Amino acid sequence: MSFIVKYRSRTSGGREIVRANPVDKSELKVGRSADSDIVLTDLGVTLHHATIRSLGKNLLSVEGEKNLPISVNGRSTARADINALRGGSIRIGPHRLTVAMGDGEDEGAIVITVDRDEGPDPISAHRQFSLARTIPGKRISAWTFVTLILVACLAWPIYSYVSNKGVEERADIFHGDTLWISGSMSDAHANLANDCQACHVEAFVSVRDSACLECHTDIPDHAEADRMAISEPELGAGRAFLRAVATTFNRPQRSCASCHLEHEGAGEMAAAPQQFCADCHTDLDTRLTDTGIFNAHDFGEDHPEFRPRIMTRPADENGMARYRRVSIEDNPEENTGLKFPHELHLSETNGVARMAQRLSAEYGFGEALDCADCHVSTPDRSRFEPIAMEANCQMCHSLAFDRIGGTIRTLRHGEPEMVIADIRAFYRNTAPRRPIDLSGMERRRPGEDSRARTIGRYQFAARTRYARASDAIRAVFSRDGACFDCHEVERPPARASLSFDIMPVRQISRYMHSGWFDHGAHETEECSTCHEADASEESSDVLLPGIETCRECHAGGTASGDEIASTCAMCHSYHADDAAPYLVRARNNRGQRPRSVRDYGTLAINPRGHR
Amino acid sequence: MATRGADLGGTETGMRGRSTAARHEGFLRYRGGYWGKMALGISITLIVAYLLIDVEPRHNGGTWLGYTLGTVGVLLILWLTMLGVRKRAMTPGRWSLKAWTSAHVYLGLSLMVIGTLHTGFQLGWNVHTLAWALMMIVIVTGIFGISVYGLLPRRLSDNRDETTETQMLETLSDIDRQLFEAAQPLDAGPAAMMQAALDETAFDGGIRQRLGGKSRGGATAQALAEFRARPARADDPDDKMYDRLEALLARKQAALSRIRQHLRIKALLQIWLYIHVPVTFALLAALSAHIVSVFFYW
Repeated sequence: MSFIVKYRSRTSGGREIVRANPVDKSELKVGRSADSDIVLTDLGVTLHHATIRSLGKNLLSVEGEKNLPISVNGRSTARADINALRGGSIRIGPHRLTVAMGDGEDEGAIVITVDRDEGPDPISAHRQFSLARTIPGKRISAWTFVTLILVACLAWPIYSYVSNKGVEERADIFHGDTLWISGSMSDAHANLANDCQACHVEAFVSVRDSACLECHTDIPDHAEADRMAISEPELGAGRAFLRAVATTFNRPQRSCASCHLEHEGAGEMAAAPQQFCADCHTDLDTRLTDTGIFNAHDFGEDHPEFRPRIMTRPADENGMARYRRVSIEDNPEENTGLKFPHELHLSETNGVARMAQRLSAEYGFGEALDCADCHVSTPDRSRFEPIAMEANCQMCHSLAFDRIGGTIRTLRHGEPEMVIADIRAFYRNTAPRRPIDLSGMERRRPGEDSRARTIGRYQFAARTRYARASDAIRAVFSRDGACFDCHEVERPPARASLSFDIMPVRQISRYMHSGWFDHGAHETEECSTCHEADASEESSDVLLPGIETCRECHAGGTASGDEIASTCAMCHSYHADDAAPYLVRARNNRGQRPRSVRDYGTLAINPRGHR
Repeated sequence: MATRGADLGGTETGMRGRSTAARHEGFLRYRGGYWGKMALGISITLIVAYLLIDVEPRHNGGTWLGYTLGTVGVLLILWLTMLGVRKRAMTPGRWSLKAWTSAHVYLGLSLMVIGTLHTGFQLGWNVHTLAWALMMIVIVTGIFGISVYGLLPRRLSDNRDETTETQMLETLSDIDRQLFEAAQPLDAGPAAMMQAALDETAFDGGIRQRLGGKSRGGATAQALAEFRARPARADDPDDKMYDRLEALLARKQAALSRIRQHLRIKALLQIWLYIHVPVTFALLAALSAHIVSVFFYW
């Protein structure tokens, strides 16, 4: 069996030189030593590195000495067989031994071509296998991203700010600084979402109250700033930290934005929670020692008894009504100037009820009088219209005193001088009723005497009729008189004088001036649930319920069962004005009846001016 | 790049009988997962705090908790980024690179909690959410990287079958050389086909090809199919040559698919870092814009 070993090398010009060396052995030594059959000159090759043995006509095996590594067909091994027909290559160090069957003159022999091939550089091979060439490098992508983001998210918004500075109203296009929006605006401010500078006027200066007050004019303050500062309790760690941050970065305290937080998501602006009120009003008197406001922190747990403002005199020396705040606990008595026993009017069994039945066709009364027969809701349904003599009383309490033809003359209500004058005029201008004796139809008794006496009496009566006006006037203003029944009469200083006067009547439309009660929201209840009118014999009774009545349905901030969670804002307003508190307005906005505080949830403040 | 089965968990394979000091401890198990426990503790504490602390009107970056989380988050991000600097200086001991890497991985995971709680789940189309999204991309690619480092090196090693990358290339060039020599007697038609097969390398195609690792209808496969379909005649003198070409083409095909598989696994091992690192810098830019914007429109 013979091998042909061909050494292939290249000249410096690149020309290939092949030296063929037939070896007629069945076993070839491969190594660096000179007596090897295949000499590989490289220090990486041992003196005797491997042995090639013929195993047949075209089959050979290659075996490394003492497990020296050789690589056959790209695979490290200690021993391998190679079929020369299929070809194969052996690598030992930088040498490649290509095995193939000879052709032409070498036909039948196995040719082993030896050439030196450094093979690919491991470093460049590693690069070739790495991803680096396939996708953009980390550095270039990093720079690209950084540039894009800084331009789009920093430079552009700042440009928007600078270019729109001082502009009254921004153009209706996309502005770069809207990329900075930290959350959706509330519905009320949604129209400002594209105009950051409406509120953020100066760069690096927090939103000032002046920005809010541009639109929201006439917002009443809650209290004087210094007193509010005194009222504040020690802050917890979290809020102290928040305040420290705000102070450090020059954000003013107790500003509009301290409570009214924007960018908290679409929908109505979030309500200030009860804790916001309770912070100061819990043990308020320990800090604000001269306050007249009682401590409170939860309607259900800690709230003083109601202190309605009642009228103590409808008119003082100057004609002004006098009021006083009195706790319901102290059984207050009020004086509105009117005498009106509710019990009498609401009875189902007395003359009033009978009268109501008689007038039912004309006035729509029922079997007896009802609250609603006199008390009519205001259009907003939260309170009641004042009672008017003409509309509510006169159908029974008539002031009629004369009839001329078909027309009934009545005394002028509310004008005592007119009443006096009208009565005088009546007696002056009318004759006493003519006795039947003097009419043409009289039955005559014999003789003139009786007739003469009648004439005499009648003439006397007619002559003195004028003077009877005084009695009539006195009667009207006295017990059982038309005025006296309902009004406090101011007697004339001198006994003979007739200058009677009436104490004015003033009606209270609102008792709770620091709080708010909406009758419309309580239409599911009977009047008598809260107002014990059917047992009130005196008009001095204050028919307001105490706090315990309210607490039957209204819990505090947290409710259980059927109770209604009732936070401060259900009845009280922070920016106290004559309008309804915030939660009520919010409810009216939605036209809904809230079941729990969650229904109030995030409702917004109605534009002011609405109730 | 680890070409051995990188045993990140530091199992005891092949380590039995040796002292425990010599046992390999991967960065995931460094000090018994000290940083993992630390990160888990931080995350749970923060989640509980987030749920228990009642800030008004709702959680966001502007509450005291939000400020704290934000400050901690940005400092953590800067520190995590420093791994790129730190890894270029290897030192042993408590502050070893391994310790640093372990902390990088676990604290990086806890950043997911810190950053998300900082948002108060108020996300929108703005620079703030952009920063959050980039942060999440960085963390998710990091998780992907750790996962492939744990799973793929064994497959890489199996596929490699004890050949090196250099050997793979050598094999291919050997086969190409033999193919070139053996194909000389071919007619024009088959010769063109053979040339196409010779020209085929495993490195063609873009990133999609790399990650997919498949090459359908390559020139080598076509030539092989064509030659195999050729009717064999025992007396044909070209028959031996065709046999040899077929054998060589089959070997080239095998070598190519091994290299392609190798490339695919390597691409999977490397790709995450090509996202992780640039997006980290994008995150730093977005973070700067986020912080500036907050104080600009304070």
